[in-house]
Amino acid sequence: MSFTKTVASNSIKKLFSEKWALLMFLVIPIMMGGLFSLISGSSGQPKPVGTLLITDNDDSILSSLLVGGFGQGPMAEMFISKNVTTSDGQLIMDEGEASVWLVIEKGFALNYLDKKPTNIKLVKNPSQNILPQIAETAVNLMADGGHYIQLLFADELQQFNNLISGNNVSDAQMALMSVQIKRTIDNLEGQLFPPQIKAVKQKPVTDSETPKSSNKPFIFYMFPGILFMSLLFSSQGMALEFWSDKTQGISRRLIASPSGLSSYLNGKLIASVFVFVLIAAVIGTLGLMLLKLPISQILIIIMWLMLSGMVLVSMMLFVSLLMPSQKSASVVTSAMVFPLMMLGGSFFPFEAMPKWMVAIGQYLPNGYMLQSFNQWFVNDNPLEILFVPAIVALVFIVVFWFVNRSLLPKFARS
Amino acid sequence: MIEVKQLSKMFGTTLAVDNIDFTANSGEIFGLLGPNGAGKSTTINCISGLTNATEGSVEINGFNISSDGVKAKQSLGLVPQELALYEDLSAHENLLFWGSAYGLGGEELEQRIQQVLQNVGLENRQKEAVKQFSGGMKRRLNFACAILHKPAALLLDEPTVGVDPQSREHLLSAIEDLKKAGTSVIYTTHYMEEAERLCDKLAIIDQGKIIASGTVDDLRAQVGERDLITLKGHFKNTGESSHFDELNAEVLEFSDDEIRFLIADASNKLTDVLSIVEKNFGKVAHVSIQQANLESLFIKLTGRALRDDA
Repeated sequence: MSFTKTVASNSIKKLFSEKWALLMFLVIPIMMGGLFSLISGSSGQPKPVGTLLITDNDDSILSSLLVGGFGQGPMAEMFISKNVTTSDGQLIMDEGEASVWLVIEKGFALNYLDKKPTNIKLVKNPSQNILPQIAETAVNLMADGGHYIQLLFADELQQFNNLISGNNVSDAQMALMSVQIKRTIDNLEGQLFPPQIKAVKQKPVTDSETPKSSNKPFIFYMFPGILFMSLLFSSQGMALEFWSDKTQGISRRLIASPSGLSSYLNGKLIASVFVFVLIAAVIGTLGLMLLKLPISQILIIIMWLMLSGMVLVSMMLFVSLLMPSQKSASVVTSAMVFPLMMLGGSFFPFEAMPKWMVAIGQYLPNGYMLQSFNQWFVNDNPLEILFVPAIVALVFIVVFWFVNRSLLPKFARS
Repeated sequence: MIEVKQLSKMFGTTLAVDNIDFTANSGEIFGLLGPNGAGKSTTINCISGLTNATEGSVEINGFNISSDGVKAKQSLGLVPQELALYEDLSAHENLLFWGSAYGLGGEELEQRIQQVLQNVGLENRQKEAVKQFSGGMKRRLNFACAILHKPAALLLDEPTVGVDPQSREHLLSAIEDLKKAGTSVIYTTHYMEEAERLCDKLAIIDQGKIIASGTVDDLRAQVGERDLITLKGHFKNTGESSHFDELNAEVLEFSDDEIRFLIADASNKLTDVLSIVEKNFGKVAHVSIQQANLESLFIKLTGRALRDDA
């Protein structure tokens, strides 16, 4: 045990003597996570959200209906509407702080009902592409819709116009107009709404499948990926430590000592656990500050990262022990790290990946551990959901301990 | 005590060590002398357990290295030819590492560390990272790591290769001290003067076989009280060495550009030697005379110089 402790403490000392390498384990993933979050929107929302400025100079029922269109359905998820005066709207657009500005002129409703030309002004922010385009398309659709309504319900609209200009609408008149509109729709039903029969097999949605966290910021979804990215980098570094020792003649000479290679392997794994805990603590503290995670969650994150890190370092060690040289080990493990990150949910959350990639990624060691973690961390499932993956991870670690231990003597002698 | 019996090691179809037997008793330094590639390091590797022998047995202090490996290794110190040190760690940290590998710890280990650092003259540099050490200092530390646990048997595989004279002296004195303390030492080298200074018994090894063994005096006697003369030039009639018979010389090597032979009282007979050679074989460009030593014996036994590549 004493030798195991010495190996572990020596490895940790060596690691701290290479501060830049240690820093890289942390900085690269945090930097990449930060960049992805920025690319996805500085507002920190899960979907890109734009600001829609509205100046309603008409302030009529019709103009309210038009503006209301932006506050419903998917449009409401994409735009935050803000009512502004003409001067404020101009100022905000000049500063580039909104995506689009919709200006409805005075007299819009009356002109529409009189079948006179009327204008809706849409000012787009030239520094943005997608959201202003969506807004423009929406306005065009509304304009087309308005045109067809004018064609179909010309008489009813005329009556409605007369009524509202006279400001004298009785219940009977309103009921009559409604009946006329209903009849017109019924007559057109065959053309407008042809009968459709479509069988849809739908799985009942259970509570556990309902996404409960759609209001969480994007960085929240990136957070587990960042942790696992760090784990991948550090486990690769720790696996290559065996090669560093070999080239310095340490592992070979150890064969001639009574302590042997089991204690050596254990010491190295303990040092790796220390690194994983350090990473979890540093990135966890960032999570604590940025995402307001509770302390209890940080402790579970540390435990899970220890377990996941051991899985990854066991796998990386296995590969590097099979390599014929330090250079090959370095090249091959580096070549493994990036696909593992891409497929295993570290670069992009599983939710944002194509299904075929998820199908592969979830069975990779890092992907499996990350997805299990997300079930608890992102989807708010109870902690028990981690029980089976933890058992699988422990079995993996034990099996690979024996495999790596059996490879070590040949590795040390060669 | 280190006892090697009928040790053989094959790598594929190559026989690297061929049925070797020898014993190094307590307080005795046993030298394995031979050129590069002769099988010295393979022998050391088999003794230390770094390589498994194909045949034969090795006992360290009565424990078989194969069947009772942990106990045998506990009694054994190894100074490998290649350094085995953490370059980023200090000398003290390296000694802590190797001391704990041999089961030492606490105050006992700290005392031993200070003792061995003093033995090798590195006590004032113990906190420095090894990467700042000279080659000789690294060799001394490499040696210190092997003697921390006071092994009953010590294997030294060419410990002075590439070492400055000061470090060499430190190492040789430390080895002599260990001998006095009763340690059995196996020492491989191709430096003749080291072997002659340190070793009580020697085995000359070539192509995996022991070709001569005994005490230094025994081996010297095989050469006799003769000197080694080496002549260089361009020679002809290389098959006719009988001309040397009248000088009572033993020809060891005779080629187009070099003649080596053993002869008694070489300095007095040099004029006769040159006259015979120039008359019968050609002009001599360079002459050297060495006192009879183990190198002479090696040349006599193998026809090659000790430091030639095998």
